[in-house]
Amino acid sequence: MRLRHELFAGLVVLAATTSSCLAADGLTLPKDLKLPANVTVAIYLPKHVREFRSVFRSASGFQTTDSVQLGNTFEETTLQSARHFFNSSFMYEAAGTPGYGLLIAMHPNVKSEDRQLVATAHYAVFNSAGGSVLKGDSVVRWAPGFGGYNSDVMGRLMEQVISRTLTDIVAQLRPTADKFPTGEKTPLNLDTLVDKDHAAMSGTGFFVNSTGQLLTAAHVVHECAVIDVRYGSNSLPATVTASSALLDVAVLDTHMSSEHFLPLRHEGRLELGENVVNIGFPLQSLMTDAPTVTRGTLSSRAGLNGSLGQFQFSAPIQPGASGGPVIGARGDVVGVAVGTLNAQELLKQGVLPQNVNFALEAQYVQKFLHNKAVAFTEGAADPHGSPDVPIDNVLPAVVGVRCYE
Amino acid sequence: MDRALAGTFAPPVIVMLCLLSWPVVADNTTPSAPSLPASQASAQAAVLLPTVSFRADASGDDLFDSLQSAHLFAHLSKEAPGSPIQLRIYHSVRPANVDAKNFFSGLLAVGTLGLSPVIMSGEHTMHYELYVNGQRIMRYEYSAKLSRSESMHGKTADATHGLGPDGVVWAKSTVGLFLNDLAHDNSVRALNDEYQAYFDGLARATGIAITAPR
Repeated sequence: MRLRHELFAGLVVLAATTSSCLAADGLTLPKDLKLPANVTVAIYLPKHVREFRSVFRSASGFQTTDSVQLGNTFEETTLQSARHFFNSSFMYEAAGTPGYGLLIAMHPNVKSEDRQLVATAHYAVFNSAGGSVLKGDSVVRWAPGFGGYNSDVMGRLMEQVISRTLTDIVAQLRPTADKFPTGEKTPLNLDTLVDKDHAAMSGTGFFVNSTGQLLTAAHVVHECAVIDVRYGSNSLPATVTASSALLDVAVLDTHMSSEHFLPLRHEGRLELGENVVNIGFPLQSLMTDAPTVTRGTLSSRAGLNGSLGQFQFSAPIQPGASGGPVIGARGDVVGVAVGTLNAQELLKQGVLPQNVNFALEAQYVQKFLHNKAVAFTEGAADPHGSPDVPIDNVLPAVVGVRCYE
Repeated sequence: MDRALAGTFAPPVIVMLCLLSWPVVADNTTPSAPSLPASQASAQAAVLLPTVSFRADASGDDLFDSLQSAHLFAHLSKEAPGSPIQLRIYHSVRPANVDAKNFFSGLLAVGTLGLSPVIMSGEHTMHYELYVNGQRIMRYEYSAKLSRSESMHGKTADATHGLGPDGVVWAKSTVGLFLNDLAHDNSVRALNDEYQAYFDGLARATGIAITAPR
């Protein structure tokens, strides 16, 4: 029981607290095992997990206040916990990490399930030579008791699942410096560390030239450890070569020549009411790797209040369509899909928006590509002199983009 | 699982009856800042950002007018959901360890059946974060140790949002610190430069420009 020190500090208080349940599946530490183990350990956590911290409502003695209390970040919690298990531990940095005896890659996740919070951590352990020595999953469940209240449930779940993971690893490997000597700095392929079964983010992209450079939304590829580009049954690694947070666009390089690429609208001219098509790879965790095509019109030259360089179109889009091309009748790109109205939020206000989606105008895409010295082509200058382009001619230039951490 | 106390208290223990009070204390304000050469800081003071969407908790919301009166945030708005630039402000508190002041005020409050207030201490932090299309490009935090008195019977909404009256004054003072830090922040200049590069025509139309020499 923990007495929160801001409440009646020092008083003898009998807390009539109700119970809550915490259950963890896994091994127990052998009694003859001495901790901390004499081994140097590097720990890999996905970027967004490292920075995640629990936030909970602050209770100022007698009242719940409007302010919040911040828990530790997952990184801080992990390192604090690891100190109990290992003599030396630090976070694995892709840019450069000291030598280690063991490398633990952890992918924690928390979800709500049957009125319980379930924290899971998939883990993989490697030796200093990069060889895989152990894989597994740890699970911790938390269910509130009757009338139960806990100020920092997430923080406690984080601590528990990390502790559970490290316990499982230590119990199975019984690591020592002799068994797992610290090696030289061995650059490890990030492909082996990231969770390839679950993309951290997915979106759409399209080739803009024949050298394998493609355009997508910057928020799709922000801080990814590994990026894959998917077309048909093929997959290619890609790297970010240029990006603009302000415009929300990024250029990826696949280093492969591309026969199919899309021209951008000449001088970015927008024609209100023009028929447009959006091609995307939405809901990539649910759907097969085939593009979806939706039709609509260019419904407004302006976006939401305060937006910059965006127009509105009515072709339906789903999560995962970000970065996809909005294509005019002549097969040229008039914009890049970057967002949609948050229907869930508006529904709370009694408004149900329909097909209100936003794209960055092609003229700003052109400026961006020009500034970054990325080659691209423009569509025909005369809108009436070019025939409509069949959608089949456009599809091969559009790809799915997946970001892994 | 460990539990925190939440509104369930044992019968009060009557210890003594005397009235004591302690002033609210604000100290140890600790900003952090990346740097820009002093010669460029004055030039940056002329930077005017385009429409910036404002999002804040109750404590941060009280700072809106002060921020909007600054040249940099003249286009700060609560009604700009489409703006790629968003300023987020919130307040957090980390309760202090028990000291004699808290201890005796707790005893006193219980002993007087709530007539005497309890002294609450903690480290309060105002967080300022600037995002561009969801990417955080800067974060500043200003902290102070604050004490405030609180009544056991206070059931009405706290207009100071947990800060206390002097804490509110301190929170407002962090606006100046934040603006001063931004004046030396390279990322503000880079953001403004990028905006000028892509939306020069729009910037001219709305009077947004760097007016001082670089």
